[in-house]
Amino acid sequence: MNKNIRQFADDGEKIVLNINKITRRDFIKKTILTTALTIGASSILNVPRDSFARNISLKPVKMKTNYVKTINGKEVKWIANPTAEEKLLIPKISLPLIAQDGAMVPIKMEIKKPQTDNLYLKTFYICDLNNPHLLLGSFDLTPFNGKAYISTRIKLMQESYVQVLAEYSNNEVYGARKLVKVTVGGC
Amino acid sequence: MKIGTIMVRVPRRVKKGKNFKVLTLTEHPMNTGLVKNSKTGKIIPEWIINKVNIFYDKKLITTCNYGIGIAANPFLAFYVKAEKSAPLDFVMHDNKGNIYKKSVQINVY
Repeated sequence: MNKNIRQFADDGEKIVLNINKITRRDFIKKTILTTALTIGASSILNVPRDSFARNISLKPVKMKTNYVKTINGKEVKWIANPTAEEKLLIPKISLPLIAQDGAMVPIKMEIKKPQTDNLYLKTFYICDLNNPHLLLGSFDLTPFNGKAYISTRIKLMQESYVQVLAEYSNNEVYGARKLVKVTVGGC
Repeated sequence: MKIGTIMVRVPRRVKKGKNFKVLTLTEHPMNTGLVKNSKTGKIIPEWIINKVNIFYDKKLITTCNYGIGIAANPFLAFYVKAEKSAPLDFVMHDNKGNIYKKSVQINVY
């Protein structure tokens, strides 16, 4: 036990000695060098950063949140609290919450009411107000399609509300919309 | 693959009166006319599929009017009600006047 204690003591003495070996001159030299380095690095890094910020003034682009009011001279119904019958007529959209690639965003639209000769879905419209061309596409259906269902892929530039309008054979138009966030825009 | 090839997937046999799903994929660049070529700096001209007509038993079932906002290699899925064994025809019209065609036989029992 005593030997061990001695060894530890010896080690401690050595370390202490080593620390004492650093002279005052060395210490001053090293401190001056490190301070000079840090100041230089910060000055070099800061200058281009400022210039970069000056050149590109990033402004958040405003998202258009308007509703599409008329299409082909027909009024679009936007119902906030639909009844049980109206729920069948309003189109159901399925979109990803966050689209990784704006060049290819999958979209599905569906109506639960089956297609009959008396009342059937005539056209689906896909609109996006942030796009340079508002109408992305339209799909005309007939009662020969048993079910009103379409799935495609669309292009999106930025975060926006994608609006789907459903026009019926009795000239009534119902609308629904959904928000999509886009990480990389594709156009 | 050659531009304008249409790939269609339909079920092998369908029961009468049932709705079946049709999946299609077309090979097309669908250039919007808004993008610049990075090397030359010129705008790539617009080239899109405008109109898609789908016939079942020589009757027009659906028509699709595509705009700029449809993605490249347009994908389309829809339902058809099976009535009798007949061909399902696709006719696609291009911006430049090209016409692409494809027909698939549907067997109903």
